[in-house]
Amino acid sequence: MPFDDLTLLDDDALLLLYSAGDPAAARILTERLAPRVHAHAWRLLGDAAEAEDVTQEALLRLWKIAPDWRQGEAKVTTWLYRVTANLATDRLRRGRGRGVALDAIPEPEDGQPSAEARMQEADRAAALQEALATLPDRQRQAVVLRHLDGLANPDIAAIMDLGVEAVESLVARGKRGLAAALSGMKESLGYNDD
Amino acid sequence: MTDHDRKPDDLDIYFDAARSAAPALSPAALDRMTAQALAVQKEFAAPPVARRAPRRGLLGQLLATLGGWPAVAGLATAGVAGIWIGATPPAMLINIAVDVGAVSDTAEDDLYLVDTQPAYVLSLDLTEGS
Repeated sequence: MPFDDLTLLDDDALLLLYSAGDPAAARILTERLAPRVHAHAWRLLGDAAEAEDVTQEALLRLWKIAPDWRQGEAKVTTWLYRVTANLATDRLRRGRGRGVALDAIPEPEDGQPSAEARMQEADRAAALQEALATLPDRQRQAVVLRHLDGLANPDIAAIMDLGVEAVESLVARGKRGLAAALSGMKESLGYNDD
Repeated sequence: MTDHDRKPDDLDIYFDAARSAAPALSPAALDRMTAQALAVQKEFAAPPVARRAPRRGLLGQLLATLGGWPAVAGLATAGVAGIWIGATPPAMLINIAVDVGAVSDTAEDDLYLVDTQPAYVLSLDLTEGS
């Protein structure tokens, strides 16, 4: 491995370099973490602009605690997912985000010939996003972390400060809620007519 | 197979679709966040080269050798006190000098008080005429 290839370093090592004043570490960490944080925030909020604000705020908090970061105690991504979820929850409780998300989801247009044509990839994603918005905050967070961000249950347990069994329970309840919401959506949109 | 044909709890197709549906962060937003990271970094990052301690002059080195200003002040006080005592010796000191050195009461003391160089008048003559 070339000694100057910082992209091969893990987040902890890069954060150490960042706090030591290395500008390359700042760039690599931002490019590595910002898209992940943004995607997670968008899945929780359903709104790109809100997600961008949350991403900027979460990263700002990371930069500020970088000099005091304790190496090896927690993963940087675990900390970031937790901060992102807290910021997103705050916004949702203030009544922002979710309403915008529902407005932003494209509605299936009338007059299309079949359910297959309407339920294309983007529509499915939009439907899931809308269904996610109907879940309680913790269930939504657990489902997003497990099935969209692809994290393992122990990692989710660390992020949500829960036991693994509690995470499994939240995910299971969340999926039941999603299935019910999606089923209701399909019926209301007439997807079962074919 | 349409979505209608799937089992109600078969959510994988939705998850698969949603995983690739998250909007990408715009390059402008990424640039702004990078700039923010660099700005915060400048606030706490240590300067790359430590500032060198200023060099001491000759007087400074001498002071440091002697132990700094407090030690030099003590030395100066002791020096002034010595000059003062030498110039105007207190009567008590004269009496002590007379008692100890200049007069002998015994032949044994006289032996130690022999003037080996009588040409030099260095002995304390304070008792003369008393």
